Amino acid sequence: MLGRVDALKEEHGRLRALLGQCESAPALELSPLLAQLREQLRPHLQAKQSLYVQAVEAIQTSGTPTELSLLGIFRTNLSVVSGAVMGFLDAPDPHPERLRERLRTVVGALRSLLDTEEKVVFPLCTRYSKAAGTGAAPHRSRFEEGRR
Amino acid sequence: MSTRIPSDLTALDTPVRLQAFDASLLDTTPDAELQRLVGEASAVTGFPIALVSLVVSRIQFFRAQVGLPPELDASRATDRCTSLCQFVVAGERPLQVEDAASDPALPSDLVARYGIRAYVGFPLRVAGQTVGSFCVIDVKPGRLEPAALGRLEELARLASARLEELARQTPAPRTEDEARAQQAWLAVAEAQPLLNLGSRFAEGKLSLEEFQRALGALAGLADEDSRRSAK
Repeated sequence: MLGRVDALKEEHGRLRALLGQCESAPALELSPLLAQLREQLRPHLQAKQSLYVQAVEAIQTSGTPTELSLLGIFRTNLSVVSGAVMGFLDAPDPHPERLRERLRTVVGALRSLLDTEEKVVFPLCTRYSKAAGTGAAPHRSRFEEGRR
Repeated sequence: MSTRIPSDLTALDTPVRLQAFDASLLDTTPDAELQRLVGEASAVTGFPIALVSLVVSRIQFFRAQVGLPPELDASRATDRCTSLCQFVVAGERPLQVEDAASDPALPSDLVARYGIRAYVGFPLRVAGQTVGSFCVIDVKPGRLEPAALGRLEELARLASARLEELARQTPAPRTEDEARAQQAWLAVAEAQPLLNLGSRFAEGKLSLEEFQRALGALAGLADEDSRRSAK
């Protein structure tokens, strides 16, 4: 699970760069960039779904009900947002200016998803992955303790 | 001013109405004019909550608000099916509810979750479509005097004019492809409240209890996703 989290974090960097390019591209040059985003995003989102499955299994074994519930919430968010964003990329608006205007919503949604995963989901996965490796009880930060 | 709850909600899902929504309307960037109008609505009526609520496909989106608890300020939305604003839109006329807790025809979720009791809403119109409700809400039963109702109606007209101005920035879809693209974008826009909540929670700005309560008010979004995945 640790290796998968690290790989996803690296992909986040590449996706953020691509989102920045999409935002600053002139309206008429958006189409190829959105096609590229679609190509990169599809396997990335699938890999994330698999990570959630693995994390749920790990937390079911040694986590708390709150952690499991949080993971469930973020897994649902991922699923709702993935479906919607891929739908948007599959049916791009033929009107370039309107496409550009709407893209702001999509870029904002994806950035928000990536940021939240890095703050909440990845640390949770990393902790349980390490605990599984050492057999030790997972360490919780004061920040995370405050949430429980 | 009606006190009757419309039973026919089909107007909510007419494609031409849903096509009225675009990026400038479902934007979380505060709009000073709309914000001024909800502030005045609350001051004039004495009701602590005032909203420009846009009733979309699956959610009601708060384009401007005053008086909401922090988690609804974060999400800016609840499920459409639990809203009172849906009835203003479906009936295309003003609605006054003196005590939502004593009317079995109204959805009970927001009454139970946030203690909503009194409600007065006026239709918001854009491009000839009723897109939402300009409303005031109180957590105790009550009604408005004619003078306050009159001013609220004027404020609702001004809010409609401002929304119309915002909506004019984007041309409406004309072809089938454009309509499909608009629907696909709408699904992203309506998922945004879930992300807003997750983000505020991750930043430590919402407690777990607030986070979960607001997610409960958006349970329909998640349920719909589960149903789609199960098919």
